[in-house]
Amino acid sequence: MLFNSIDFAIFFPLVFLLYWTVSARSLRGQNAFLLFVSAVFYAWWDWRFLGLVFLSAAIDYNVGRALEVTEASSKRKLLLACSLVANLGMLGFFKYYDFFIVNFNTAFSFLGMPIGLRALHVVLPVGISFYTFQTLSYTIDVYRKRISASHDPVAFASFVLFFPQLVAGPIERAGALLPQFQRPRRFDIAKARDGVRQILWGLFKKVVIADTCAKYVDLIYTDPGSMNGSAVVLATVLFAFQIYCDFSGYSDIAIGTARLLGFDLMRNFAYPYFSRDMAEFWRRWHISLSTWFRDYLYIPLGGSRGSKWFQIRNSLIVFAVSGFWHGASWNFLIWGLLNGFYFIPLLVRNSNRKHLGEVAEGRMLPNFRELSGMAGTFVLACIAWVFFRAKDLSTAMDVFSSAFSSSFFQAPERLQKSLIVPLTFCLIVMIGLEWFSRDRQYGLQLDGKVPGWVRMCIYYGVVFLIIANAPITNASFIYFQF
Amino acid sequence: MVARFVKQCALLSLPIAAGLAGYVAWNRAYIPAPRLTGNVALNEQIHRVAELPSGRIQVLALGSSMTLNNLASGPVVEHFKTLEMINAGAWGMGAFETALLGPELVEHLDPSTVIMVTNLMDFIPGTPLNEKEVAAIREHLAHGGSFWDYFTFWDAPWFLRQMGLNRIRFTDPGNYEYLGFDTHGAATLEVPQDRIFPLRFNKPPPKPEELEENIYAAFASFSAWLRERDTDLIVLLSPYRKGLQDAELERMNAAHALRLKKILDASGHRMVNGNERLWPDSVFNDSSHLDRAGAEQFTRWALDRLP
Repeated sequence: MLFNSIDFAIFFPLVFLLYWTVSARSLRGQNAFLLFVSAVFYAWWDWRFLGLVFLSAAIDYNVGRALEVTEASSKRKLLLACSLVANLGMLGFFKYYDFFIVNFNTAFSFLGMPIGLRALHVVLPVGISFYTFQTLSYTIDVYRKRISASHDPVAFASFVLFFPQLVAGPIERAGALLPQFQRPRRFDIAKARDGVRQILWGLFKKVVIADTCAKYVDLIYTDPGSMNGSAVVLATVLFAFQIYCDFSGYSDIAIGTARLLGFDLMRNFAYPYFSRDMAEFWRRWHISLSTWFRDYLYIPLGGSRGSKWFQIRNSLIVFAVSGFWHGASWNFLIWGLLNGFYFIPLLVRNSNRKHLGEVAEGRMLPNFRELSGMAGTFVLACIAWVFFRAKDLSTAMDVFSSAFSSSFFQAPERLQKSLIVPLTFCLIVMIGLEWFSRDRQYGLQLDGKVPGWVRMCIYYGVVFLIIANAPITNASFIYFQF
Repeated sequence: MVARFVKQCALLSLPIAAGLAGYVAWNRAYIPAPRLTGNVALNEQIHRVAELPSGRIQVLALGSSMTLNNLASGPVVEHFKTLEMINAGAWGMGAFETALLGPELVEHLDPSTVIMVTNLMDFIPGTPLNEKEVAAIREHLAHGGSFWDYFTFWDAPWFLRQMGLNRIRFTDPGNYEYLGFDTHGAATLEVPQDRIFPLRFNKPPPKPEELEENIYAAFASFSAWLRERDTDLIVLLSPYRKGLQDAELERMNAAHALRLKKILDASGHRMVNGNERLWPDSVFNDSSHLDRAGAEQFTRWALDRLP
């Protein structure tokens, strides 16, 4: 079920009412109800893969319980290995099997030893990369004795299947989310209002900006080699906004939905395009994944201890794995590595933690240095996005050859005034509101910043734009494919 | 607490609901049909047909804008002496698309005669209907169409844009996209001289090599299917304006007409070739779309010559 669908517009109000009325009599009842509706939400796509999520939850619940009562280090390691093999095995099979088979075939054919292994064309279960990482974080944290194992299978399964963030995150840590399933939840009207506002903001970004950008981006990226340079560059810039608004919009809707149900999810985006360098960008982009890799891969690899070369090696490994996490293709690997290479100069100069606060703190506008930093970071991100968006490496190369040709100085092809004029207006509204709220969690958190009537006008304006643009049938979220 | 929150949400939503309802009510005459396909004219025709009672009618007109714009309802009603005549023609419905969708409409309305007005343009590849669109049309016809169809095929920007465009489409016969249907579903054009678009007026007919074999095959199979269910098919070949006529077009039209006649003769259907006579430029709105008076003249002339 898509957040931007009529199905969800009917489903969620019903869930909300039943959750706070009928099922609210007991914590167990509430959790059981959440588990049920989460299963319905997931099964809306494909009920066959529901068993896979339950299997993953069952493995990690039992491994957690066993870890709790096991003291012997070797047995604990074995239990952890069981969880890793099972979870990563499922992820590897569904997501990477065909990729490796195709590449093995190509490599062996190149060496004159064709092996003819058959690709299985396996369907990728939606959200598998997200819930696998979430359940893994639980097992690893129990293994590290940072959290205690869950004794309530219903609460644990609800934590794994929690529908607002099941299919595209934020990837929650058991230590933060699981306890929320284990204590009674009271309806908080302020939190609920905030949740509604955040949902509105997420919908605005998704259906007004991302889906409109997609119309031009899809048109140009179908065959970028035949388009002129300015069209390709414009499409890449619009893709940068599309992917940000698509994914952060999803996260906003997920966080807002969870808040309406009395839960607090972690922040996933912190205005990444206001970053002054790529290190700051990665602290603000897909925070739940970046911190996951930091805690469960970068630090175990040695983290920032050791020599500069050691740190560079660790960073490149994390970026490469992060790229590969997004999809089984060389494009994603190159995208990850390219971001890793952006990181190296900052690491070498020890300036990777230079910008920890917000940009233009205490000021209305940025200074020239900040502005040029943001512009440079945006350009670097756009160059990397080419690999993310292009369907294969040769298409990515077509994009660069078009972009760096003399046709860059022509007017962009296939650009309709009826698309670009309203889109530019909406982008200005979005960037303006996010800049104005950059010390807050999301763009519509305007309490105390502007008078109440202005806030109401903005809310109604956003609602108007959402209704005028959405929901468009079949406009899925980009990150569902991961 | 929850009740208070729900009440607040409902109160804050009221202006939105009222605004939307007001806007739609204000523009109710221009509400487009549900978006069953990407073809606006076809959507309107299917929605109109779906709202009619299904069952036996006398005459069903199918085809492209040639049927929609060039077949005047008056002469058809007079010729067949019946008011049970429906014109379901729509732009973009070339011979292939008509052959694909025709059976759905024929099954739904059960006509004793099908009329198809066509020209060379209908035998070059167009934008084909996909399976999903045909399924949507089938479903829409089967259930008579309902308010819920708007939600099934919801696309707000498209819907709002069409509502604006329909202000012109539904009311101005001087617009080439005119969809102000008469009681039978025809929409004859009346484009004023100063609004005639030169590019359209001088648009040459397609080249022989553009005509596709598989379209003739689809047409032949539709023709045979109609005979199997004992439905007569009448094909009226719509003419090009006199100013465009030359020896090459004459040859091409003759070859095309001969080919269609063979197909139709095989199933015992009838055809009248509008190119047997020269039609003055003054009755055309472009190279092949007749104006209202031209459509009346052409329809009457063709039906009088039916074998």
